[in-house]
Amino acid sequence: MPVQENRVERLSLSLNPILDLRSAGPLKDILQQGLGRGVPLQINASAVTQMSTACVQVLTAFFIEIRTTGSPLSLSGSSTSFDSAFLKLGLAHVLQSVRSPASTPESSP
Amino acid sequence: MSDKFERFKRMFLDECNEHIRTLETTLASLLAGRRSQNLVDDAFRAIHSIKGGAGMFGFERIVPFAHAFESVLDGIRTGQITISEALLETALRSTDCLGDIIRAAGSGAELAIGFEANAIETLENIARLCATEAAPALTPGKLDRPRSDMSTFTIGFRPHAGLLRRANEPLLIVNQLEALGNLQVTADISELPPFVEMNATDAYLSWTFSLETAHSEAEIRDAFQFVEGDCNLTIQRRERRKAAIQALPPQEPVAADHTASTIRVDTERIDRLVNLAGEIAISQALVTQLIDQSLYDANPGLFQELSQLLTHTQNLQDSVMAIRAQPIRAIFDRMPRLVRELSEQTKKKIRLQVAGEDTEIDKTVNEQLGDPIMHMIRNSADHGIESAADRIAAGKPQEGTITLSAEQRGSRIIIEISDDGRGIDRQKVMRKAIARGLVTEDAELSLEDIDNLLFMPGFSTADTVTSISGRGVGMDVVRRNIQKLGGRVSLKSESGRGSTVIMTLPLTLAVMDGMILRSGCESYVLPMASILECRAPWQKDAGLVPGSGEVLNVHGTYAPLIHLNQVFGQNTVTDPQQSVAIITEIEGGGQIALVVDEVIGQQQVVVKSITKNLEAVAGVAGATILGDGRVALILDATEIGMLKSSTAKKHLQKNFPEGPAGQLVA
Repeated sequence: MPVQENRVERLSLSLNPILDLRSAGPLKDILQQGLGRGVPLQINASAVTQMSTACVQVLTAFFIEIRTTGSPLSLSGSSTSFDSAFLKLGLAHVLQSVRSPASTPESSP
Repeated sequence: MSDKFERFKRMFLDECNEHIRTLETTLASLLAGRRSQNLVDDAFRAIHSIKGGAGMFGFERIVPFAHAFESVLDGIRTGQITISEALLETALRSTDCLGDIIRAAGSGAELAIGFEANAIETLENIARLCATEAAPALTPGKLDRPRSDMSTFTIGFRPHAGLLRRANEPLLIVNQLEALGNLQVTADISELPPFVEMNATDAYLSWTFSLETAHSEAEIRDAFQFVEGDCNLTIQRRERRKAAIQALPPQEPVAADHTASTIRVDTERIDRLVNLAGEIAISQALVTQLIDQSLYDANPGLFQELSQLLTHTQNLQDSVMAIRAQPIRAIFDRMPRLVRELSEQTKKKIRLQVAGEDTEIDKTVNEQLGDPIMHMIRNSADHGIESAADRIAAGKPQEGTITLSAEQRGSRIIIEISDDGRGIDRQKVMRKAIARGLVTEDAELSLEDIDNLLFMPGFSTADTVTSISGRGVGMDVVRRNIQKLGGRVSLKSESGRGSTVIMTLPLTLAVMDGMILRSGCESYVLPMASILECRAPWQKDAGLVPGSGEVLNVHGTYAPLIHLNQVFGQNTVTDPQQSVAIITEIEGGGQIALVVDEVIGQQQVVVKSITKNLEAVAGVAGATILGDGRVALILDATEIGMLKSSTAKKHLQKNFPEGPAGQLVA
């Protein structure tokens, strides 16, 4: 999961194809590196072929956190598997908030 | 750890073997071209059950493998992964690997570190290659379900913190619920801590599902079967909508949805029951002997009731014996893996066809059949099936076929292993036999006799010894093992067309067809399976051979003549004019001629072990109780033959010290 910091002060993260239970810890660690840097973060999830609930949780908590800190975050691409996992777990709105930065993810009723 | 826990663990491992068989058969069916959602669902359920149970019992080597496997099968199930031949072949190899891990877990054997890593990686790689954004799903399983009445359930699912760590995946639960009907999912993220404080593998989310379905609450609960102890689960039926025209069907109790069709019973309890049934059979035989015309005349009512009782007793005995019967599938299901491995090792394309796998056979016979069948399949793959080039040159399809079949004929089971290979090269067999001094150069043997040479100990026609076969330690062992089970092996072969090995086995070992013989004042039982023929009179064919004692000419070959009264040291004299010679087959393909005073008749006998209470007696395989209450010894013809041969050797050493030991000079 390479994080690249380019000259225009923007971080890009390409997510690995397999985001299973074993990947949740490493995913959290790498996302944590992007927190508090005050630079825009771009995540690309188009290569993801396998998702786990653990990774969905980590990403959901991260999306909420980063919106709270006000750092710009964008999702430059996502695969069907990635979108489907959020949709199946009733978290489509969380993903939507990343795609449309104006809205903030909220706790479901 | 408690005994109870260990018992459940053992039961789980037993179930795993059944799940592995399900995986093998469903994947093999898919590979054979039967693309059905139900097959994929069955395979998924099998791996899901393995994973769930393994997590619960702490089998750390099984869980990650099963999890990766389950993800691939789930991808196929939901249409995210397209089925391909390569994917299915990899999945079958992964099943083999998972089977090994489970067996190691059961036996406590240590597996090498990283044993399964390669298989997981290959499976995940190939699944990635087959991943598709828009693969059409197979016919959805839920369409197969009746939709005559619909209910809406509200399901509350609040996982405990450790649920994910035990390899439980809520996404798979969602998939299972989706397969049951129309699902709406609402997530609750209120328990999600700040990102930096969260533990990546703790469960924080919870869900409320709304499911409109025709399925029962029990089926919904089934989706949560592996997480019920790891979450708070509530299932409530909200409404019930009936199809307007359809009459209200009678309400089935919920438990009926889940009624198990089988129960697990310790084999020890079954054996006790079989023993009791044996005792009843003996008592029945005793009573039968007491029932005669005088009883009917004296008390016709009692006679009728007794006859009825005997019929019921016979039925009871048959039913009890049937409990020990198992489908031969347990053995046959192991063979596809073997053929896959042999195909890879020999670089030949080999297909296995299996028939009659539901044929039932006694548990003990079943357990001991695996090795002989494996030997024969190895031989077929290594020696029978030709290379692709040779097959094409012979006008055959490139892919060789090995057929394994079983069927019941009367009280026996016939197992056949055939191949469409090159057949037995009989000239080569003869050359080898002559070179080894087994037959003389001018010997004229029938085709059957030549084929039987292959069953001689250490005999092999292979030019080179491979890891698969060729050491000549197979066929004689096969014959010996099958004979120990009261069976026979024969061989049919046609040059250029292939070979067939036929194994004939008894349905059960607890009851046996025997011939009742009298020698002196004692009765004996000789298993019918080993008897070739009876001769009376026999004296004109008998002769005396130095070093071998008395022999009987049986269709041109000489069988040692053994007087049964001498074997067991009875001081009786057999009347040569009244006695009978019983020609009996012994292990290794030889024959002996047993001389007895009288053949009383044929009878089904209950086999009783004598070694539980007495020391093993040479020449005696067991005992039985006859209808008149007398105990009769069951003879072991092979051991009797060996006793004779050692006596002859002593005789030879004493009388012909310079003679050529063991050579027949008749």
